[in-house]
Amino acid sequence: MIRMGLGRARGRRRPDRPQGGAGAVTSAFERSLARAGAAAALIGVLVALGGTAVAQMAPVVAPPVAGGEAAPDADLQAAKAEFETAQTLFIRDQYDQAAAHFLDAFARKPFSAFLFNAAVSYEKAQKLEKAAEFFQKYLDREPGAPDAASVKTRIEALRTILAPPAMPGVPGTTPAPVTPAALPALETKGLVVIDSKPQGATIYLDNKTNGVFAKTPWQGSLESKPVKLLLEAKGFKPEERSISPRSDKLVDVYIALSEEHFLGWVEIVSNVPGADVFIDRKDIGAIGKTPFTGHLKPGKHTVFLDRIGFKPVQQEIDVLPGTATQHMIKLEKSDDGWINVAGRGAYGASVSVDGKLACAAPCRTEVAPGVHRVVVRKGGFEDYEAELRVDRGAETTVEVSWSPRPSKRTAYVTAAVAAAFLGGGLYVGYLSNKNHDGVQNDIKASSAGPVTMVDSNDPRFSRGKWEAVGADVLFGVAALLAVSATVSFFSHGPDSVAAVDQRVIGFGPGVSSDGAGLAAWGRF
Amino acid sequence: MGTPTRLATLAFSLLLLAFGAVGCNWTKFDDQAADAPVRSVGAPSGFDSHDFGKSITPLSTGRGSAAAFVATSLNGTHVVLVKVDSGGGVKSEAVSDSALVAAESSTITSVAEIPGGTPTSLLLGSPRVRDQDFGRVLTYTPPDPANSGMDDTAKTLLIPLLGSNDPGMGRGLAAGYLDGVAETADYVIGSDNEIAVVIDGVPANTAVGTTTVGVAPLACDVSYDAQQDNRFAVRRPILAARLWADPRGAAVQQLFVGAPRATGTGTLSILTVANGTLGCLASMAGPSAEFGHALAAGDANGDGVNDFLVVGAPGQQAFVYQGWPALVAPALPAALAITPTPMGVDFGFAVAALNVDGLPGDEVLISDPRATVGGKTGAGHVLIYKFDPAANAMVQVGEIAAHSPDTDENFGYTLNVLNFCRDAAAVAAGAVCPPAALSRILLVGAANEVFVYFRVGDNIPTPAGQTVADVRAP
Repeated sequence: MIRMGLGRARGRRRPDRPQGGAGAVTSAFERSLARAGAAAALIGVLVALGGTAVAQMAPVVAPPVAGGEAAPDADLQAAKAEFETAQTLFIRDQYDQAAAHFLDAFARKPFSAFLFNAAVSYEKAQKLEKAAEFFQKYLDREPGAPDAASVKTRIEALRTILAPPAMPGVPGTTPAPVTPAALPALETKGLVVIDSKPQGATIYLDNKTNGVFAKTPWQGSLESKPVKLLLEAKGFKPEERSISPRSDKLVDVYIALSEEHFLGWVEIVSNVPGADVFIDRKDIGAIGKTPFTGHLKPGKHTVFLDRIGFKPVQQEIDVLPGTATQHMIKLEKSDDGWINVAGRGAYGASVSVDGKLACAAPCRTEVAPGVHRVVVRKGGFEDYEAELRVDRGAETTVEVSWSPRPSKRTAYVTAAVAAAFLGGGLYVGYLSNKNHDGVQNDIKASSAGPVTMVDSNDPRFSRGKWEAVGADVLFGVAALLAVSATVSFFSHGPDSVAAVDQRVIGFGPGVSSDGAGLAAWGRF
Repeated sequence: MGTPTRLATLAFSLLLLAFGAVGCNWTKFDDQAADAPVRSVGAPSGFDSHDFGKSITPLSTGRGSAAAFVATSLNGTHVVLVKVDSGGGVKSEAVSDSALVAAESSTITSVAEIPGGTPTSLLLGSPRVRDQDFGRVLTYTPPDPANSGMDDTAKTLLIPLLGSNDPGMGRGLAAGYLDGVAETADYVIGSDNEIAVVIDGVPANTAVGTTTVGVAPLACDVSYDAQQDNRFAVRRPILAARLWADPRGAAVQQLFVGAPRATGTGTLSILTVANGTLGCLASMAGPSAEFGHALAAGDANGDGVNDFLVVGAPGQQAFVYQGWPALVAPALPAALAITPTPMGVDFGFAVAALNVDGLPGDEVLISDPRATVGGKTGAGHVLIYKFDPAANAMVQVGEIAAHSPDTDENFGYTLNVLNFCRDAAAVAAGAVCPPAALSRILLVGAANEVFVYFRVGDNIPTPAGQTVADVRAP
């Protein structure tokens, strides 16, 4: 289950945690310091200076968990309430009150960000001495914070302002005229608190391929943008949730992981790290890279490993519920080569190898070593065709520079005009033949009425003759146009060319942060 | 673009190329035109517009072709010999200017063929020499393919009887056998006021104006009214024909002379030569001024002997005189008047007698070149008449018009009958055409065009199943 709080209204209580006092700022502060000092874990915070939005992490001290059982945290809710009250006052320029509430929040939960925010509030209230004091306390608690240097510089600047003026008449003792307004502007920090039941769960941000982010419990600042949290713990069902961190809010995420004894915990490793891991189906994409850890349903599963330069491997594994197993899969160097069609213009092109459609670019296709006829086609462009030699274990990269195919509009128009001329020729020819037949009938047939026999100067002769000539001219023009159209249809622009590179993919012993083993390498 | 589409396009192109290569055969229209039953002969170069076809003279033989006729220009010194081959093809041979130098660039409006010679010669009449009021007659022998060395220059024919200043000399011409001597042809030359006869090369006598010849009160009016409408004044009609048997010989012909007038009544005179003297046998006055403008003789019963005379009276009528050869002048047959329905414009302008229906006997063809046909004013047509014994009248049996009438086409301005020999071998050999191969075909002149009819009569009532064959058919 997951319980997530944002602000006071959505808070929850942890009854197993002692209720914090509501006393004076100082006493509450000192109590919190005492509790924080008992903690042994490190915590990390993200410090944003000068309005930057860079996410930074720092380890923080995890709060003690009684009996290893997480429970609603009343102090955290109280601290959140104080935090939001302080932020409201800060926005209203009531900086003294804001600082007091930040310190009350710290008294509830000793997050160092509260000290930082209190220091910023005091600085805004022109209480520079207290500001320097709480910046220093922040540094004392977070000596390794990413912004430690800038905070230290700020403390020095504040103390310079607070220092007594130099002796008159003594050269070189006059300090630089520093005022608070001259200091870089500072804003308070937001806070994200991630906790789980049980604690110690692995936190991933957005995707497991990004690697492990942290372990619960964790508190710190994140960029103000939506992010997906993935929590995994051995023996528990993974959970994922989305949050939207803000600079003026304390986001509290608490996820109670369910024990899932019916799942099995697997770890898949390979002799060559970084191989794509597929479980049962390859068409839905890789679920991670080796070394891979995760839960699987009990039963038999098929694990596929793909790694360029190596033969694809598939292996059956048997997952038992509530168990953790490691599977070592060995990758062997591939005997084939690859043709990789890439480049910006590759999108929308189809790749055929030896007359068979291979893939839709950009893509890589595996081929046997040797010479292959590669055709890359893309609409509106001339085809790229070449005989490419692919060596064993080598990848031949083809980046096509497309040559636009000449427009066939002129050819179509010419063909249409040719057809029109043909039609005209047929029609005029029909008229000519009609004339001929009509005259022939008049010649042969007896006429009724006056003897108006056809004479050799009958206008139909000349008309029919010119119609025949016209038809022939139309046929001729149509033929010429058709030839022109044909030539246009068959014409093409310059062939598309390609930059062809071949690189050899090899593998050998290697050492990385993930461990030692065989590593792939390339020579270009 | 896929390969199938490209191949389809290529196939389409090849198909079009095949179309372009084969295409439409336009020469078939030339072949078809040659097969047309009517041959249209256009004006040769040199003829003015609306000139060719208004002065046509058929020749008795084809002079190396199936048929031939002479055309002259009414507005220039142009003489063309038009030959029609046995297939219907036409070839025009213009008489050169050098051959006609004697005409002194004057128009030649009358032509007559002098029978008997080989080849035959022509009389050419030029009634207004150098645009003056005197005429001239030339003799001309067209080049003979069989005699290439002959002199083909036109020569002036001197006629002492008429004198060199006789107005309009040559306006009318005729040649034939008038005195019974068949070996030598006789000439008849008409001027505006006279008719002179040259018998066997010897000037006989001249009939001048209203001449009384023979037994009084017979008088033949041979004067010619040159003031009449220009349409009619081009040439005067003189016809040498045998309409009855002259006891002096089988070839003796009679002479028929028309005398149309601008006012009053035109007349027709029948003359004959007896004992070397021209005499008047009969004379008849027509009902109208233009009576006598056109003359033609024909054979009504198909026995090979002429037995009727057609006289045109341009306007509304033509007349047929039949009853010969039983009658001999001065006895005259009764006239059968022909009046077209609807009324014509220049009905009777030209006349001819020709068997157009294939049945024995000639029909009478009378043209109206200014008639409106097919809505075209002045398009002209030719009406065909046949004698109906029951009604004792001439009945119209047909009409001939251009297939595509045109305004002022003047179809029928001239009507002539042309001898056509379909025996190509005989023609090529220069032999006399066998009678079975000899046909008489119709020659219709129009403005700027001459129509040669190889077949007529499709629409003329004939016995069932009978067709009129094309004379070119073997």
